[in-house]
Amino acid sequence: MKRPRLQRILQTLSLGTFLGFLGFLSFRAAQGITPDVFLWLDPLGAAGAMLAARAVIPALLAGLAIIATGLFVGRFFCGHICPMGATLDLAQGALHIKRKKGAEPGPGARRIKYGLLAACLGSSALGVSLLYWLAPMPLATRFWGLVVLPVVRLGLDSGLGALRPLARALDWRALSFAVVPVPRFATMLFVALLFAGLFALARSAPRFWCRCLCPAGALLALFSGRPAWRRSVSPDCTGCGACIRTCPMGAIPEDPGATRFRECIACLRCVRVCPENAVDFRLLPRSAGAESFLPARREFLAAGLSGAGMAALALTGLDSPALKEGVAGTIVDPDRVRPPGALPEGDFLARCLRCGECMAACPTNTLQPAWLQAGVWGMFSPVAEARRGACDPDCAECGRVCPTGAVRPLPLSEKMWAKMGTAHVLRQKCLAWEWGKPCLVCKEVCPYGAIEMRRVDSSPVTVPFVLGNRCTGCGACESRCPVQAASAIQVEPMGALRLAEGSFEKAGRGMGLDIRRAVQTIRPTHGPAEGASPFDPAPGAPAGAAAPFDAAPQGPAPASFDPAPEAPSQSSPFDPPSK
Amino acid sequence: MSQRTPRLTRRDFLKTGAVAAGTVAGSGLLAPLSTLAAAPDAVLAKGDPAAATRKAVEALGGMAAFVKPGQRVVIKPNMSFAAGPDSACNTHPAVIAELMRLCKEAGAARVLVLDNTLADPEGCLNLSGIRAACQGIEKDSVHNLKEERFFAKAAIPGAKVLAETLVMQDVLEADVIIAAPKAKSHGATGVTLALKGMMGLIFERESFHRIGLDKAIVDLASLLKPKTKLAVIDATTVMTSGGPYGPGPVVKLDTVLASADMVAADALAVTLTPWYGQKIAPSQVRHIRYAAERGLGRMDVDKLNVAGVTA
Ligand code: SF4
Repeated sequence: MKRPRLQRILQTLSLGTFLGFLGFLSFRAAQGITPDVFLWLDPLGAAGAMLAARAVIPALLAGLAIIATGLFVGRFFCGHICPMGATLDLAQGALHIKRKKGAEPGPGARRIKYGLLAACLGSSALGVSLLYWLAPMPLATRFWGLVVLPVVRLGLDSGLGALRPLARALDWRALSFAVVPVPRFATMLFVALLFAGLFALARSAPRFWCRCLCPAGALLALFSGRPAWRRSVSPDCTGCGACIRTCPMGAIPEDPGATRFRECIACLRCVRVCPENAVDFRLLPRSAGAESFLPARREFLAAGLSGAGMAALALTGLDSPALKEGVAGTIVDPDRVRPPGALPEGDFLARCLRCGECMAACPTNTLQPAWLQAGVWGMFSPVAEARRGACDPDCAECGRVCPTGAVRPLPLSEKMWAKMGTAHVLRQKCLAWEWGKPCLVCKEVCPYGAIEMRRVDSSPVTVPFVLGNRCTGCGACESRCPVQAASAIQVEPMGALRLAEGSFEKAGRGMGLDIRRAVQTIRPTHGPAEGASPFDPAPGAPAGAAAPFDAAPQGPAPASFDPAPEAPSQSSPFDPPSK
Repeated sequence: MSQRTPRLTRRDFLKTGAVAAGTVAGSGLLAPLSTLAAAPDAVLAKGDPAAATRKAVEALGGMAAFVKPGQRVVIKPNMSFAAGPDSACNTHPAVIAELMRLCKEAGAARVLVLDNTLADPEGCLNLSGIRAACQGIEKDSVHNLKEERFFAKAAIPGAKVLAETLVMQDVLEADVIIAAPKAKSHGATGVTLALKGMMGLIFERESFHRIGLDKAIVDLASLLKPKTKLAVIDATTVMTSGGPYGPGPVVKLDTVLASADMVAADALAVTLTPWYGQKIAPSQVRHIRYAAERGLGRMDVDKLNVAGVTA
């Protein structure tokens, strides 16, 4: 059956723009060019996030405007613009999902969406966001950004790999060395399964999600009781019922002359399919509405209250974001390291839509959707997983692309001061501390010079110490530590600087932080020797020769780390001279 | 060729250099050059990075002695840090560019500059200045390779700890490798020069720290030694402690050191300046000593035939 033109064009444009933004953002070269404005349009995301955050989020005003369009064009947005709807249509077509007879959802099922809407808003009213389970744009973003995009990239990269022998033979350098980085995400499989489920629901009804579940659709529906531009049927209608069978939303009741406007997404299929050309969409026609399965007020209220109840549970639960961190009795998962510039945890969770935009844009793949590191209520919010990659000192994309400001947009100079946590050495795992092996990879890779190698009595080699006030928690050390499985140096959210407003640098300096890029520029010759020497004293060397083995001159080493009285010469990198 | 350049003893060379450190090189280590008919074992060239590089290679007999027309060359720089030449932690871009030029003049079919850095690959390529410096000489020649598909398995017969490892395919297929490290201190191995620099040609280097860093470095060197026909060490500036990237004092030696023997080059570089405030003999650097013991080259600097040239 031919699809109505307008819808197909708009959907293609819209999904294309949506994917364009998402794919574009994930390329490093695109850094700093434009945020994903598409994400600003989610009506529920906008209403819910502003309610939960108790703030006007400027970018999301676009979403509120979308709600208002309900008054004029009904759920046109659902039919033509929403990338989730387009995704479902696309999947249904591409996977040839056939409808099963008699599986049509009844009016009760259609009311679920209002219940979910009420629950979302109810929880948001108490400042806890449950939107992420249900808001369509974040869902679609997660699907395309965290599931499809990596697979596409993997395909491209494999293609490059396959072409490499040819490219090498012809010495096409650019091609033979080209690489498409492939990100990987922790909850990918889960999101994929969730979408497989949503796609499968099309067996019951096309757009089952939009009909029965989508709370954003419900929100629009509330404003679409009798939109200005709407379906109208002329007396030419013979009542053949072709439109009833075609309507993907089940918006046409037994009498095809009427319309359930709250269900109609204005896809215009009925217009195209009518053999009598009796159906039309126009401004303010005299057309009949029909019962739209609105829930009873009591149901709506109950759902709202249950949402609020969930929020209340969240607020009293053990993993509650509401308690102040550092206050006795608050539990913080040591793995819950947030992106730099993330708002204080409570505000952050209220605003974060879990769209995964920051994760798709993160060039090092360190940002991952959380499972339970941030509690049940923090699922799919971004956490930095250093073992996967370190936060790049030259990147601040996460804040720039975040649609809600849950991660603040910061210039690089500020982002550096937005401390994510602090690294600490697990001495019993560390090659240098525990095994006496010469290793300084953590020091080598720390972009901020926050690791100092010192001599201690207990080890024949110099061992790493973290300078807490210089560590920004980027995780470079953790990501490259050669110790297998868990790293011997790990970043925890300890000391993280989370500010709702104001300058991170100012606050950081105020608390004694001293964060700066490490690599030095050339210094005058004959400066003092810095750092503990890795050389052992040659036996019989004059007494003065032992001096450089002291703890680093400026290092805040306690007295117990003074020069090793007689460092064992065997295991040092520098053996005594032969003869 | 530098026939007209007056040959200097290493002592003279170091004395004439405005390098106080030179005096530390110890009288016992210096041997006057006796026979100059053959190419010297090593050359110390003074001057700005590009000119000194050219002079050093010329004094060794010219690039033609190492690179034959039509051969494929890989230059291994040190570009491990996203920082400019002033940081003294990467090989000076002019040294690499000059080496590339010399290779092209000698008729090399293709010259690649390859590394696998710890730090952000693009940052290293851009900020080190090496990619830009080479761009005008051979297009698309500088790469920082990280993906496994660029590497191939290589067995290392007689290895002590590193029986096999993944080495860059382009390195395995090259005819000539030129080691072109920066001379600098290193907290784990004392110094990092030509031998240690080879760690940048393999896929996974972290494990070296677990299995035994010094032995693994020598195992890898034993694999690459036959192709490493030339080592050119950038000692124009040297971070003498606090390496590999500092902070630490940097001395300006204005010297480029070259040798066909990468072990000798490293050994000689150790004697150029004190490290961590003390004089160090090459035999005190374990990986250098192991390499010499395994016959990969010489570390008896006092018996080396060293030429000094000024660019
Ligand atoms: S020690 Fe350095 S590398 Fe590790 S987290 Fe801190 S700043 Fe990053």
